[in-house]
Amino acid sequence: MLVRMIASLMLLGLGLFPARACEQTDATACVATGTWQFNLAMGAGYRSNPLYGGRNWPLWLMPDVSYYAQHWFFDNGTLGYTLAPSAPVQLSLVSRFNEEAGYFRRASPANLFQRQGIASIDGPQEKFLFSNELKVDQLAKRPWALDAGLQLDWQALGLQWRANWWHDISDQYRGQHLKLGAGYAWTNSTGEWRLSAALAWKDKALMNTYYGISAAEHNGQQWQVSADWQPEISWQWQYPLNHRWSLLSMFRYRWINQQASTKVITGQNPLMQEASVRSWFVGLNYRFF
Amino acid sequence: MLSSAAHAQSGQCTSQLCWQIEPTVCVSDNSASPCPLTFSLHWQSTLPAAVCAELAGESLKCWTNQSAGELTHQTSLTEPLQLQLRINGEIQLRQQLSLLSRQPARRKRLVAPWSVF
Repeated sequence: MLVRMIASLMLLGLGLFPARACEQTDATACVATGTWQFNLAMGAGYRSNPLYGGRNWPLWLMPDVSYYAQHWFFDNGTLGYTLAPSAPVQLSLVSRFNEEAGYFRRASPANLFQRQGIASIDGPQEKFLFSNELKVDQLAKRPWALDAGLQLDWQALGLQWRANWWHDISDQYRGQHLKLGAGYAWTNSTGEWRLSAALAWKDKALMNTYYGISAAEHNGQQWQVSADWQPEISWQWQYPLNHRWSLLSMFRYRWINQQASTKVITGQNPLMQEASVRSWFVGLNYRFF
Repeated sequence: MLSSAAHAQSGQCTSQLCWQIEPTVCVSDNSASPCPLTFSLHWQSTLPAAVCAELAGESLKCWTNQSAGELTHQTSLTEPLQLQLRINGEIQLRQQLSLLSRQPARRKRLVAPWSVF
């Protein structure tokens, strides 16, 4: 039923306006093919960790790395192959590391671009722990997994739409997740703006692998987690100072489910302190090439 | 906006008809803008015939009971166009006018920048 709903939304979007080609002036959304693109954002920010004992990540140095060939592309950790790059509706085969493991370890492949060097300006990095909760360090190691799937990009109603289907090809969580998002970008004298919203669905297998708790981890009591809907909103603002430097500001808020259940009760997952993941950043961006 | 015509000359012949077109490639600095092109076409036939030159299906010039002809035409390319020569109503020769750009091709980014964070 979920797949049918997403397919209906996509058909509705496809039938309305013809997609516009990649415009030369749309510098943040269009890139030259056959050449590496490297930007480095420097400033202050953090990404929150919803888990007890989990560390918030200071974001003071953020690289943006991409390479687009005629069909292949690598963009910020995603490797892909687009079947028809000039088509108004672009279908790509994609692959990347699953991000869930990043909440449980500091050296996960999902954190390759992270730097840990200064304390978060948002406050203490270690969260205060009550006796009934589970700290990240007390858990068995959660696996890092490799996802692969399909991505569909198209334009309709003046919005840029994107749909993703991911599934585990590394046999770690043996599940799948979906995401549908839409974004609107505009440029005026105050800079380049981008507003986005997305809805992700993560299946029970994925959620239980990372956020389920085995009996051995929590006083003989097993906690199961169900499939989860995770809406998110984000915005980005960039103000070019010259052809290399620009001011940059970003914010993202993602809602997550804190509920879990044992055989007897349903309640707050002992692992999860917060019902959201928040990222923000303010600083400068330098375009190397 | 700069554009130039590559000095690519094309000549083709059938059993009774030959033509030469110069140039056949238009080069622009900017892939997003039209590429202005002025080309010349010369044809010769072994026998007098009714000959028509067409560009993208539109007639440019026709000759009646002639065994040779020429034309110069100015156009603006946004995509490759097909040049055709008809003799007595039938298409005998075809040549594509190509479009090249000095600017590398561009693609839409498919992952939001800094989305990893």
